[in-house]
Amino acid sequence: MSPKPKKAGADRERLISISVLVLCLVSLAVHVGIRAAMVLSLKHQLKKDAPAELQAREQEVREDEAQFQAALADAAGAVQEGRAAKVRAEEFRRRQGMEESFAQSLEEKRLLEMARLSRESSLGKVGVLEELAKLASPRSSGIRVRREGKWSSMELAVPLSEVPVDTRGGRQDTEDLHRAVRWTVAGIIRDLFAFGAAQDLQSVEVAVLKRVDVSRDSAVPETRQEYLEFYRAGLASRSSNPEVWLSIGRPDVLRMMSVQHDEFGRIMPRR
Amino acid sequence: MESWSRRMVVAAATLVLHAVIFLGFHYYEQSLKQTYARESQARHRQWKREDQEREKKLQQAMNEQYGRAPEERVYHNPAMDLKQLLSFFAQRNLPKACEASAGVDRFTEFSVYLKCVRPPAKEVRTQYLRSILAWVDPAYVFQVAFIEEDGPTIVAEQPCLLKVKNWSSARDSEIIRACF
Repeated sequence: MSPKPKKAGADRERLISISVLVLCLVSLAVHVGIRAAMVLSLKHQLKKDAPAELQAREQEVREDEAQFQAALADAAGAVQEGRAAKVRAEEFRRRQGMEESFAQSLEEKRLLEMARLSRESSLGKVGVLEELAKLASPRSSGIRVRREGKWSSMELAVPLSEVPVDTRGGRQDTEDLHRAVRWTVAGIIRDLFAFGAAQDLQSVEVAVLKRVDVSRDSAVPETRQEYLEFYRAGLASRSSNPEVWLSIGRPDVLRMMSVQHDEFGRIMPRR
Repeated sequence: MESWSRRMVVAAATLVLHAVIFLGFHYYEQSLKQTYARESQARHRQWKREDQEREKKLQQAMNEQYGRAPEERVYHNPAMDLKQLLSFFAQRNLPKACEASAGVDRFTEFSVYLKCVRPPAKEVRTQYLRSILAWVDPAYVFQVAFIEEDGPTIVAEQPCLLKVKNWSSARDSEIIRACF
């Protein structure tokens, strides 16, 4: 081989080596550059976020303070105007009107269902009154609706065993049961007039009966069931304004209704 | 041959340097983020503390607008609805060994239940009724039931509550005559 091509080969090799080296250095430089730019951008972003956050915070504090000052002024006015009492009176009025938003208990939902039924026209007046009586009275109650001319009257027979007694106390005595019976009867009468008055309901009579097993003859082992009337009360009214009935409480009904029979008075021990 | 191996070494060294650069910057970025996050957390913690202190101060100032005594504050606060009002006063002056709750049934029938281990004496019942009804209009109270564990329930119903003309100044004898 001649020295000329040998030199040319060596030059080419050197050139390739230099190129490789340059390529490596350039790639390193580019990498460093990109990463440095990313870090700088991140730093910039983080530094930019902090003042923005601070600014938002200051704004929030200012708004809170302004809201508070307004609330403070409002509170002072509220005391002077007796606003709390007015707000509560308004709440009570809305409750009397059975606003749906206040319906929390099953009892309240039942009353709303009765209100819905009272507006039902497809059942006819007697049909509506029967359905209302079912909702107003404890289960297994006997219901009779009578139509006399324009007016309707209702008779209900409630089993004593179905009268709800407040079980919060440890023991229920006759007085507790008597109270529960009176409250239940007053509640039934009020609910029926409140929702049935528009259906020309004129009178409601509720009897509370106790089922007892009796034997006619001691020689005959068969027992027979009889119903003993423990309590009977009724109320007659021609007020067809449901609002009147919705606005009165059970104590008012207790005062208004006439008690025809009260077995409890006889058996109740004096405290 | 020798130049090829040199080039390979250069390439390998370049790769190693790339990895070092990547890891170095990654670590730096992470530590930067962590530092900022720590600072931000500390700032938020401080704001939260400031918020709580401010809230407390504001609440105090607000309460003072409604009155000095806790009863006045609750009574004059329009945000307290009937149930909250009754619950507050039912819990406020509890007789010994008793617990109280307040609830509403049938929209307007607000009741207070005071459950005691032993039956509270008439005077205690009277004081308890006064402590509630001096603040809550008796027209809103359906009944106050005094429940004894394993005993009968004594109930002060609305008609008797309405018989007392002014609950704040009513004498014990007047309340006893009306309700017990």
